[in-house]
Amino acid sequence: MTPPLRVLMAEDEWLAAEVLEEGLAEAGFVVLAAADGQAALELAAAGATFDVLLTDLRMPRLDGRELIFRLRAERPALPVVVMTGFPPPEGISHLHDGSGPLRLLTKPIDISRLVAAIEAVASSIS
Amino acid sequence: MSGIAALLETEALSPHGVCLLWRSDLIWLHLVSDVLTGLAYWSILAVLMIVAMRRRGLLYPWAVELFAAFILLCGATHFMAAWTLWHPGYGVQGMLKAATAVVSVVTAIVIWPLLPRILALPSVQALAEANASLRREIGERREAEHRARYSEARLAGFFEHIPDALFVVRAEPEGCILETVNPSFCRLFRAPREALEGISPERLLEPEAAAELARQFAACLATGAPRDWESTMPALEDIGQVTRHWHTVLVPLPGTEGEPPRLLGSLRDVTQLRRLQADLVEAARRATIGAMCAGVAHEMSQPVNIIGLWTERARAALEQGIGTPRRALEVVLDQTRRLGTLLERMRELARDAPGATEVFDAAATAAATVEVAQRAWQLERIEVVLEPVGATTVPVRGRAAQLEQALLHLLENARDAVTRRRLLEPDAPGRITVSLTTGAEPGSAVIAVRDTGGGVPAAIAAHILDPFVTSKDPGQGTGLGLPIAAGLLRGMGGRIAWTNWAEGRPDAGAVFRMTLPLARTVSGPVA
Repeated sequence: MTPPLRVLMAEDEWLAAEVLEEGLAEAGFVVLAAADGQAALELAAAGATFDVLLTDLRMPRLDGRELIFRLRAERPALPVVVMTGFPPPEGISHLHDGSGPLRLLTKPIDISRLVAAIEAVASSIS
Repeated sequence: MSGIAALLETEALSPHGVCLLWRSDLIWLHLVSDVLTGLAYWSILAVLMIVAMRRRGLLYPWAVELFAAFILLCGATHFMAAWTLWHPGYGVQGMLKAATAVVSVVTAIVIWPLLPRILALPSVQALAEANASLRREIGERREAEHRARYSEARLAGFFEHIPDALFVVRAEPEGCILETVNPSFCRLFRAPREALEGISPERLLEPEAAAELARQFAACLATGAPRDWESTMPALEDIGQVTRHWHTVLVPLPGTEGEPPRLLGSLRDVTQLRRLQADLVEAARRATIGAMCAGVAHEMSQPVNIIGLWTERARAALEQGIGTPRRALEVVLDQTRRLGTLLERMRELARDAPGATEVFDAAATAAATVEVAQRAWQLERIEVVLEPVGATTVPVRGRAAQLEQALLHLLENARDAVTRRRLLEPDAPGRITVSLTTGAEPGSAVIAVRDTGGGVPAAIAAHILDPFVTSKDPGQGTGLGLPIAAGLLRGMGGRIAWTNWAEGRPDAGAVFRMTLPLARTVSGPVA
């Protein structure tokens, strides 16, 4: 049996984060929840291990785009799933350099779609 | 024998030569001197007569005549003296001398009063100068005339070739008459110049436009001030032609005494311009709608997302019979309320200035609003100060509740700016100053809200009055407060402007100024 996927989740809306965490855990993921981009970055810096980054875009302190760039600087192939209510008009190329897989989901988020997206980005590099 | 006959009697007298003992040297001396003197006198007389006859219009002709008689007689006395050398006509000589005496004395007397008048006559030099200056003036006049003719030719060129339809009307008792029209005017009304000049311009127009034109003519003539107005005219004759918009300008022409007043008019087709403006407004409206939709999507996605997630969870709880959906329902309700608030703000944005307005005291409204804010934020260590306005009232027209709302939006923004700054600088000053001033611009009042929140970030400075532009953290602001406040102000004929203040200093912040027109008179509600 393969070990469960570890997901680092950055979502500042705690009401959404709570349900997402629960839903992903039920789907068999291990979730590391961070209250915003800065918290996620600090978790990663503290040595937390994770396979996939799940992040919102608009967040206080450090936004999703910046978080992706910072983490990808260390791990260029890091799989990423972005959740946003407002996709950037410039498209997803605006969000990363294309070194790793990236999926974008627009809110409202459906748990089953989210699970599928996480599995898709994770499998594309393994 | 009468006295005169006795005077003329010469029998007993001897000629003057006798007295000179007929000494030839004395005789010659007297004879030559007298004759020469007499001739000289009469020669002067001849010159005088020629001048008098040639120069008509001498200033004092009677004085000249008197002078001529005086010289004539003086000359005659000398000839008479020569005559008496041989003929003892002393009676005649005496009478001649008497006549000379009379004329001399009269001349000597009357010439004195003439003296000042003669001195007052311009000297030849003065006359020459006057002449030269006259000649110069004539030259200048000719030059000016030439320039005027040139400038007239240029003006005529403008008049003939300008694309605007130009016309000059003359105000006659029976109404205005087209006096001159330019080719553009002829093209516009599709008639030759001869058919247009001399008729009333109102005959070219529809009755309504004609009435408007007559009104404007009358107003322009009565006030002497230029008039300009825009009118919409149904297409001229042609079928399928669109309605056209015209901008008409009337200017009184400088009048000449005794002539009927004239007006210069120009008609410009602004249809294209109006259409472009309408397109521009529409484009701006669509851009705003686009921006609003994007903003709405942004703001609504979060609560909709949460509602979706929690509803799914509630369904799972119900289906599997584990846990309770109660918390999920509360979250859903709470998020629905959040959406409701957002919708209410959008509705406010949509209506600019509905309902009745009245004149109210902006100073009282500002004071009441500041009091609300003072009470609300006391615990947050934010001081709200109303700078003294004085005892005067500040009458403005609108709705007090709307001004209060607009001011509250500005105060909330100021509070949020201060709070946000304190996340990074916990000891940053928290002071919001509200001031109300009048007279900075004539006829207007300014309510200024100054905070110590660090100022508006440069990144959003250009768009801060647009909907859904906010400097606040996600979830903290909708970006609708300022546009709503601006909309409310617009409804009252006012506006909002802002500037950063005291940059680089500890009390740096932003100043938002609401400018409102002062109401002229205090009156009741107006629909």
